[in-house]
Amino acid sequence: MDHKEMLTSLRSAFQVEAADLLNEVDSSLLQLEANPDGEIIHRVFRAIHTLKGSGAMVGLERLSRFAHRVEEVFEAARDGELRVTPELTDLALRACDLLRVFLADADSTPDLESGTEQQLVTALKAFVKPETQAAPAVQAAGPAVAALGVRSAADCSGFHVCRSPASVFLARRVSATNASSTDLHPAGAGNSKRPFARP
Amino acid sequence: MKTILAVDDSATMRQMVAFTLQGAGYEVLAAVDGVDALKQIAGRHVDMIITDLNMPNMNGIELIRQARSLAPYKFVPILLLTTESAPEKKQEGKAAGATGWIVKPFNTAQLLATVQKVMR
Repeated sequence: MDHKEMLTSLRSAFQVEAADLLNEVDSSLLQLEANPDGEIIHRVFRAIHTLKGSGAMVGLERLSRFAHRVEEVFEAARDGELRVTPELTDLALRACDLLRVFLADADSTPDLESGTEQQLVTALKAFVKPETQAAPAVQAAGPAVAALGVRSAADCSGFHVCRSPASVFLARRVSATNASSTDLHPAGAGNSKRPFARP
Repeated sequence: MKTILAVDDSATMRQMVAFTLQGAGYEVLAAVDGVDALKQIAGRHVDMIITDLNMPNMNGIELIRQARSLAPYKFVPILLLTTESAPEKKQEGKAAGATGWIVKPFNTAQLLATVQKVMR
């Protein structure tokens, strides 16, 4: 199987998986309206997180980037930083509809539904922002992660390399259960062997 | 033939890892979460584990911790595949006993190169 065949095959696998995940998110959101349960919030977060990660792997950049915005909100909800309100579940249901549009658009058309996207992103950010103002570190981490996503999405089609080798750490030796930083190569010991280096 | 266990709740990711590594001559087993992975390695030997971080039932960090507590898996290479690039998450992975970390999205060549580097 060559590169192109593999991508085609993975994309169809993702279509099936993503459709299932979006249905799962929809029904979880409806459950959340009646019962804001932590486990259900976690389930929504995980499903959106998978959409983001696997979507990026198959080159669906707009889907992945937008999923990240939704993920941020449910991450905050999962961590107890914001309450799941009917307004939020409503917004998230609309976000799911947009994710379905992006899923159907294998070419990642830049202008597709950009007005709707803008509107939803603004609304999603408004949910997270009041909570993160008190924590500048969290606020700073958000855009950095998003920027990575954008970079990889913009620079990539399919499986092209988007990450520096520094994003891969390799331990010289992992001493089982009590691995400590001393078991790893010191930073700068080798290009691809920098432990836990920032990408 | 070396055997690699790919652990991910995303079918797309499991397929991607399997395609890539089978093409390079590895035998690839798949597990859907940490619990499934522990079940699979209990019955047989694998030469490497590649795991996602965020999964239902048992996440990648807990899987690594539990695998490292099993004698046959003390030194087996374990790679984390994840979208998380936060330093504290990497520290957590390192502390649990992960051998390496690859941030998604990555390409097949990168995955293969890393696997070949850590496979003994």
